[in-house]
Amino acid sequence: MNMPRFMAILCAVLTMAFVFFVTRQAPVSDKTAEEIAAQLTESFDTEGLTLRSGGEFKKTFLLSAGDYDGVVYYSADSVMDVRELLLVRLKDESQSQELTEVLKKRIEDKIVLFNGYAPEEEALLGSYVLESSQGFVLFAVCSHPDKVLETFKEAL
Amino acid sequence: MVFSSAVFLFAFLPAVLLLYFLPLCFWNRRLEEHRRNLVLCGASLIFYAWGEPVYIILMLLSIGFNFNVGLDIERSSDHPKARKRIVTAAVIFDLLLLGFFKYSNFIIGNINHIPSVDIPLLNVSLPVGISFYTFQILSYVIDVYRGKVKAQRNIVSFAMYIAMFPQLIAGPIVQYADIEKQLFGRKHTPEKFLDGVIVFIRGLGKKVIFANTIGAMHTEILAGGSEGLSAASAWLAAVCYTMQIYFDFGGYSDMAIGLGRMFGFEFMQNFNFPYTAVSIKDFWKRWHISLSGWFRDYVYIPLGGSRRGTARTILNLAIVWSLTGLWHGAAWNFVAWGAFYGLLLILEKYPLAGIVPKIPVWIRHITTMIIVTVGWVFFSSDSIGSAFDLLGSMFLVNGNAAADPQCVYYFRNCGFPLMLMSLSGFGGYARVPKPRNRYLATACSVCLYGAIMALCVICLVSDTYNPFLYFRF
Repeated sequence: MNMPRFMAILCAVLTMAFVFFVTRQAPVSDKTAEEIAAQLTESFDTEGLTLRSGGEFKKTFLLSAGDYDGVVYYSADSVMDVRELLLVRLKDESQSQELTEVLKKRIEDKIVLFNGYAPEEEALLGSYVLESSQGFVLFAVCSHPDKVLETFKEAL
Repeated sequence: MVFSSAVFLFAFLPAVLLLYFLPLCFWNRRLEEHRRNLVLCGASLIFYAWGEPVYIILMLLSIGFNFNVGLDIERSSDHPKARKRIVTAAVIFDLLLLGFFKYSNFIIGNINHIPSVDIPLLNVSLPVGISFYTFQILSYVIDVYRGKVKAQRNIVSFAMYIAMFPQLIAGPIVQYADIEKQLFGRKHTPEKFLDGVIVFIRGLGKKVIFANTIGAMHTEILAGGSEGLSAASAWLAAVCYTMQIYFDFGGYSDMAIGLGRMFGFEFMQNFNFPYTAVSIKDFWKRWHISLSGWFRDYVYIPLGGSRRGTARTILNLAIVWSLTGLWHGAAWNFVAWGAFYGLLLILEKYPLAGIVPKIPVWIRHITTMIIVTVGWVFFSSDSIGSAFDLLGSMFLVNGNAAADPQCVYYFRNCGFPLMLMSLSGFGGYARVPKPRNRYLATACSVCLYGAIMALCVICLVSDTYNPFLYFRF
């Protein structure tokens, strides 16, 4: 066998091994966003929060809900209440980076907004939860972030 | 990493340009060319790995595989059957790889619609730019097989061709035959470099100032969904997306061409004022030219093109346009979008062939623009269902109002930006008289492009993350 052919076959075999490795990564949870959110709202006080539509999600984050497999978004009715809960079921893992960048930017902007005159709200923003796991992204600003994160991991 | 980001503009690009143009091997021209190619290749791999640290391995393996396939095809020049077997195996392998990452979950999702079938989806993400670089790779392998080009013997040059960062993520799809001679011996002149800078800034302006602005308006109009949207608002949303996708993708292509020129390359033009088209055929001669050219050279013509009778030509067009739709995304709305254009092109080519040329140009232009705008509704929607919902509002089919107070507000907001964009998108700025005095013309250019750059930087600092629409393909 000539060298280029041997090298081509070697690369092809390595490529297949790589594909196998990639697909063996962390599994995707087979639950829907609504199922996970139902469990999350048990540990997340949703009083004063409203479940928002896909359109309002789009308006808030400049991202289309249709690009994802599922979006559940709660935000506060009062502008002085920074609590919010966002759960997104990704279509594929590559969406995670874009989404987390948008969410980090949102937190940074809100911290600047509340800095200096609303210390309690600023503290809540500082302890936000942003977790990407098993095909889901969880974003929460609340008074018990650890509890929400724990529930999320159990629910997956 | 995206071109319209501070990291790229103020760290990555200056560092690469500095390393590229430092005459470290000035005593030997050939060695200097090798060094520059190495810098560009290394920088391109870093650029790709920035956003895709895992999939860089896939790309490197793909480069290694196809580089060796090219050499193997050339070595087997005396054995036509063996050559055919090698090229067939390579094309199937490359397409399977693209298909696995891009279409596996789409196929599984469709199979799962069968009652009692529930196959779990694969946890795979789409490697950025795979649709673009796979097509470049295929053009190389097929052209080596056809004897149109010689196999590349330098793996750095080959890797540079596949991974070259200006056009890696969203094209233009550069065919190897078009760039082969530029891999070595390309010219670098201050004029060419400056021209590249101007084209790059123009593209950046299209993306950051135009596409992002009109994109935000499109989002705002459709924020509440298409339910209850008046016809006027629905049309405005569709027009906003028509402008957004042109300035987004056209802007990216300009940036790619400009960057290429800075590094001495001449990439093909990817857009030629597509919204001035007077027919659908004309539109596709002007829109994403590199993709249309690829499908023509590697699918349509090998299938027989239009040389095998009417029925076969119709079938070939249907195949090509279904594939064009699927290439854009693994979803039925993209297939519908491709089929929509396939059908229109068939109609234009046969039953309407004698009628279309007799229609006044201005009517043909308006009709083409309406059809293109309707086409983008399929393209921009999340599903076929939501596309028809919006079309229902546009054509007053779903009982919504023709206009409402909300649409007046939208028109007030969008009117001026849309007017500016139309001036640019329809080539109006090309008709603006330029100063005859050379120095005055240069001063005007410096001021204009300096202002565009400054405005872009201000927008980038204050804006949220805005990826290019074509990144997801």
